[in-house]
Formats: sequence, structure tokens, C-alpha cells
Amino acid sequence: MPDLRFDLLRREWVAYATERNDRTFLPTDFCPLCPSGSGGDSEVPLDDFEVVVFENRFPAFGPDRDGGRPVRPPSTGCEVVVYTPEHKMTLAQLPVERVRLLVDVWADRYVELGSRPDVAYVYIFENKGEEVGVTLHHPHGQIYALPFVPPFADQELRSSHEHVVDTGRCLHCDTIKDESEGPRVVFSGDSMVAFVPKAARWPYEVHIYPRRHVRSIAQLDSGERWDFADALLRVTSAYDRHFGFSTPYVMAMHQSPTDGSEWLQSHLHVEFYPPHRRKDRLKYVAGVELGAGTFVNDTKPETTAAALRLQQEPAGKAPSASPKP
Amino acid sequence: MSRSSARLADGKRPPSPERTAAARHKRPRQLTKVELELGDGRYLLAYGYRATVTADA
Repeated sequence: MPDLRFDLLRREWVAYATERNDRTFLPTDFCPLCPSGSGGDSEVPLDDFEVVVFENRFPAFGPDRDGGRPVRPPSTGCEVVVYTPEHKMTLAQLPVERVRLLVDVWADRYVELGSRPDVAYVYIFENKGEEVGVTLHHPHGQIYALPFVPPFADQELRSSHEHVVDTGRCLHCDTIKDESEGPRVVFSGDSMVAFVPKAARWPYEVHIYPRRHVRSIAQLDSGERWDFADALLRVTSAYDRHFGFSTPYVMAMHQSPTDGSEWLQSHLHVEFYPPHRRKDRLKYVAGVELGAGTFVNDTKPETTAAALRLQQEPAGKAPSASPKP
Repeated sequence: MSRSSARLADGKRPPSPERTAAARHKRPRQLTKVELELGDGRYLLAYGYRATVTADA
């Protein structure tokens, strides 16, 4: 049974989920996320599908189990989102129609999970690549329906609230205005903008924002959802073109909590953290980051943004992918 | 680095801006959602813009 403990010194929650220690780890002869047909033994006993969502067999948060079976109705929970039945695809390789569907699915899950009385925050994310701890390669993401607002989102909300009090404006909207035509922009579209943040922690960190002040993914209109899907493809495929291989990353979606407050200062955005600082080197979270909480970045955001802007060319003009050194 | 990332060795390329721009003009379809129960009581939701569920879970 998952367990939450509160660290009084750091003032943050720590989750304990001991069953996860024995979860499926990089299987070579079987994929739990591939469709296995009626009566099949994968997590998806269907002949085919477009996007499926299911409760994680090894949840990091609960308490949603009683004798191994889920408690109904659920309170909080963890879900797996499988992007496609095709095992070898990546988000960057999906057709935009499928990513558009994924946006609709994320919006639906945000609303449904957020309506549970115990869920304070719906955290949507993807870990891609063994470098960031992936245990299954099939393209998928995860959703944690948390009973608290996690620390990074909480800090952003506090900062944005203070900015509203000081200026009457949204901090995120002001940032978008500054970054959408500056030296750190990756691309600037009609309704979406992507940039390497001024104080990026990761060398190729990119944030995607809707220009309009929307608090959650559920508030995006149809056109913005198409543009959001397009933006996700632009960023992830730019990584692949730049590095010349399918680039690992963590993708994190930040949006309004679902605890009943209005959170007017919230502004939907997605943050990407690729672990590579160059093709053959990783950025590690080590002593100064883990022990002091201060990131040391070996690159300048303006430099990496310029490199990613170059990869906004059509695929035919980009350098072909080659084996990684 | 001890492990290699998956390479783009399957011949699939990221979608081009032209391809995504063309798709953007398509009208969104109605989202469908079918809920199934897995053997251990967990739920599975099959999403699509068309009915794709063809097997009993």
C-alpha cells in the first residue's frame, strides 16, 4: 500500500511504494503495453486501439487498493497513458492527428481526475529513455492524481501570485512577451510559443506555452489543441534532429491545481528536460544540485536555443540521423 | 554514458511542418471513450475519434 510521509525540514511530501521495487523492468521478450488481444496477458487486452489509459498496476500514490483490488470510488491514483499500439514509435514520430487525440485525452483526464474530492493536482508527465529511468520502451506517459500540490508547481504559483499582486499581470504572460521574440525563442507560433528559459537548469530545457492565459489544458480551444499538438512535435523532433538520435527527456505539464480554489495566476505550460548536454555526454544531477538545490548548467540558454531553432527546418533539410557515438 | 538511446533506425522520421500544418485544418472529431475492467479490477479507458475496441477485456 503506498504511503505518504511529510518531511518537516524540507516541508515536502515523500511517497513510499514498496511494490514498485519489483515492477516490470525493461522486458526483452514481452511488452506489457502492446495490445495482446481478447484474453491476452498484457496490460491492454485489446486487438487494437488509438490511445488507452489504465490504472497503474504499481501506483506510487494511493490509498486506492484493498486486498490488491482498487477501492471504488477511487480517491487519488496513478494512470498510464499509452500513445499508440506501435511499440517502436516515439511521441516525435506520431502523426499530428494522434498527438491531437492525446491532447484531448489529457484534457479529459485532467477534468475527471481533478473532480475527485481528494485530488489537489493532476500531474501529467512522460519519462522517455533509459537515461531518465524508463522501465518500458513502448511510447507512453503517466498521470499522477496527487492529494497535494507538488513543490515545483506550488513555488511557481506563489511567484506568479506575488507578481499579480505587484503588477496586476500574469508572470507567465509577461515571460511569454519577453521570450517570444528574444534570443532564447525556439519557435513562435500564432497561439503557442516555445523557448529555452532564461534560467534553464538543463542545457536543452524547453518550455511550451499557449499565448492565451489558460489555466489548464482543458481550457484550450480546438485550434489551440491542434497548435499544442504541433508544438509538442516541433520540440521533440527538433531534439531528435539536433542530436541525431531519439532523444531522451522528461516532459512535465504544469497547470492549475484542482483543489477547489480558482488559481487565477496559473498558466498552462509544458517543460522538457533532456538529460544530454551534448551528443555524447549527460548532465547529471549530482552534489550541488541534489545536496544544495542549485543547478550548474554547462551551456548558455541562448546557445542551445539557437541550435534548436536551426532544427525548425523541414525534415528533408535536416541532417539524417546517425548512430550515437 | 553506458547506454544508447533508441536511434531513428526504423526509418521513421519526425513529421514535417508541412504535414502538421495540413492536418491542422482538419476539423476535430468527437472524442469517444470506452471503459473496460481488467482482470484485477483496474479500469482501462480506450479513447479515440472512432470505435476501435474489438475485444472483451
